[in-house]
Amino acid sequence: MVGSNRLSSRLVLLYLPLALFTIFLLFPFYWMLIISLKPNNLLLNMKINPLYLTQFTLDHYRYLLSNTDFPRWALNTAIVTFGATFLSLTSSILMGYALGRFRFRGGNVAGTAIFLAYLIPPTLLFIPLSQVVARFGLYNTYWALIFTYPTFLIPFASWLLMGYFRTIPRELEECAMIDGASRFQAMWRIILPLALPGVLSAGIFSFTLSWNEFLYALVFMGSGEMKTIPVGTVSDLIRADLFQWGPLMAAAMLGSVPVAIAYMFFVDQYVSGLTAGAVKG
Amino acid sequence: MTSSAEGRWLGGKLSRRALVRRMVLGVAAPVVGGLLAACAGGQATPTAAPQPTPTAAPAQQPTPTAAAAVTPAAAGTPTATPVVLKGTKLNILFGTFFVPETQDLMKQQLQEFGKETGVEATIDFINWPDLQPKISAAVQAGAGPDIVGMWDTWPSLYKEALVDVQDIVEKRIKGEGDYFDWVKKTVLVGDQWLSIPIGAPTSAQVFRKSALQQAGWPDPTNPPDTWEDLFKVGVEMKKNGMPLGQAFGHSTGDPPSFCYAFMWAYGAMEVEADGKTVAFNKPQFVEGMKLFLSYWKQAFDETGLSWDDATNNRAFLAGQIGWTFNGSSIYIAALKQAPDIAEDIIHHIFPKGPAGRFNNLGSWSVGILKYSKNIAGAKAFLEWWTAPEQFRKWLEIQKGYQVAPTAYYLNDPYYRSDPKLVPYVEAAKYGRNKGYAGLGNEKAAEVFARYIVVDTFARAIQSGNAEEAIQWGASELQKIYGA
Repeated sequence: MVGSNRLSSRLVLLYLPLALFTIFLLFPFYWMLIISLKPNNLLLNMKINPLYLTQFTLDHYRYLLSNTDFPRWALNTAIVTFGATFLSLTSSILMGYALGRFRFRGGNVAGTAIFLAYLIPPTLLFIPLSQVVARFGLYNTYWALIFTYPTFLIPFASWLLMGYFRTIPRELEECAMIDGASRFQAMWRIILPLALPGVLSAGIFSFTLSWNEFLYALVFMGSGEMKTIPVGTVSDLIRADLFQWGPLMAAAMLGSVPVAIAYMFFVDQYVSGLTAGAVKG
Repeated sequence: MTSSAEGRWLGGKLSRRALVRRMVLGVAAPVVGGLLAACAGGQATPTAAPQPTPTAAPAQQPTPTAAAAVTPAAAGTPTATPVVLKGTKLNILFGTFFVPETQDLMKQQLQEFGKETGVEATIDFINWPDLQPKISAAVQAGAGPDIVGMWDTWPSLYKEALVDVQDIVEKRIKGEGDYFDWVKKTVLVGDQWLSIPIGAPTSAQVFRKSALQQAGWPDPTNPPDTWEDLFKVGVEMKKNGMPLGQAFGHSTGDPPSFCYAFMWAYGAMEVEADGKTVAFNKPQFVEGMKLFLSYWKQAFDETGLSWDDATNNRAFLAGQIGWTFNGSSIYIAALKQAPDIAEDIIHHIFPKGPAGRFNNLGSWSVGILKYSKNIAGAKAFLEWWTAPEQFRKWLEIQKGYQVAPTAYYLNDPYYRSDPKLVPYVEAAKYGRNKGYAGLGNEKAAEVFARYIVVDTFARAIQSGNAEEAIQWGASELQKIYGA
């Protein structure tokens, strides 16, 4: 039993699987790290053990930061990510609240339809969306992505929040409204603080997806300096059939840091947000 | 507006809070507008380019016919470029180049062109597989780059979106001679030139001389010249830990290099010259495939089924394989990273089979998109850039990686100075277009995009059944060419 106090059984049933799982999950990051720190002459040397470093260099990071536009790509990615996350979260809170709280004809159908919209793959949407982006004159601007990312962020985030709002007792806001609060005030002051784990989950979800998105960033922006990290990295560090593995892995490491930080700070809320309503309290 | 509503506006019922809210909104509107403008990004794009008003259009944006009239002067002597091009913008999109200096040179050439003509030109290079989605979206949206670099069969795919450049091509042919047959069969759309050929990187066999020596090949400086000899020596090479390495994954370069060349060498083709009759399921090809399968496990690195264009480069430079098909990128990279491997490399043209020696070759080209707001500038640039004075610099900096589309350049020193690279130029003599014996048109492009020829080989390797795999390939080809 996992809950057993006997050391041997805890070791076999808990710590060993946990260790294996941790190694499995962290190995890609470890691999990225050692490749990014390995000198070029050792990168393809199969005579040495590839799993640890025998020599160490920061040349790939230096190259990335001084010979490419990586700092600019990072700035672009941050602007787009924060913009799209803010827009999506605001819309999703309002939509999730409406769908989770109000009883109206077609409410459930609308909720399901919104979730189904999330299932349409971006590879089908990018061609018609490119016409919309061009007609609004947004091509190669931050707004092209800030306005298009919500097409896949809002459906999932509002569906998530809709479920979360439903787990919060209706009586709480009714009490507030009896005390004179308007509907918006009841939502803002009573329900939203209680729904914070759900909002954070939706926020982290939106943040991660926006940060890593590739196709829209390539097609709608991606010209000149207006590249995000995923687009800039493959455009500048892959030359025809040769990959610059060192700088590529350095970019992958630096690019994953903000997402890792976001998870680190909010992981507890994220988990409780995703599991809300799993059991009745 | 209802009377009650009017009353709210006019009857003094505007509360302090409502007044403040409206004031905030009034201030916020321009601020938001400003933010929108600020977020519009610093990079100029064709859509962001100054759009002349309709009345100003004739002066600022000459029609294509007018452009044709002004471009000769622009190309011949850039300093004589008419005023109409000054202040216009141009954005160009290309795939990345293996030799990094090529991209630097092109930026420099754009600056030079810009200084002479007043055209503000920018260029973007993106990863090869990402080029097509970007062009497709731009064509659909009617916004994006003015000039695009295209792979061999793409002019047929984008024929509705490309500007006719017959006038520039005629000048090139007049000056530098006619294009190779494989160039015309890929770039020409019907009888129309919608883009200007710029040649293509070629492939050749890349051997480790030492691996051939260890395998007991009598003369390592004169590698195997037939497919069968290659497979035979591969058996010995694999025994010594240096197998043949060939990619069969869905990748646009190396897998088709092998598969198309082998198919032609063993007498099969996608289609006859009529462009309709599929000629894939030929007895000679079936026999050839059986021969290949009999050597697959003995001579090849069997993980090749999942390899892409980059894997064989990595495996070769890591000393895991002793042979592969590739452009000169392995050798050029080895010169920098691993001089001992570069010294040990020997190149050889494609092997021959019972039907002859062939290699898959189609010309890249550059075209102007019809939605461009600066067709005149784009034409002027292409005429200037494809003229020998500039184009030769572009070929030279690539150290022979790109074979020119006409024989005019093939005796230039950069193609001959390193004897190890000469087979890459020789390969141009044996080039056949995708879709041979038909044209490299949209049907050939579809066959290529769906990897039907490559997948025939992959299926044969997986099932071990040559007949069944070739039958499958023929039926898939029939669906496209017979339609």
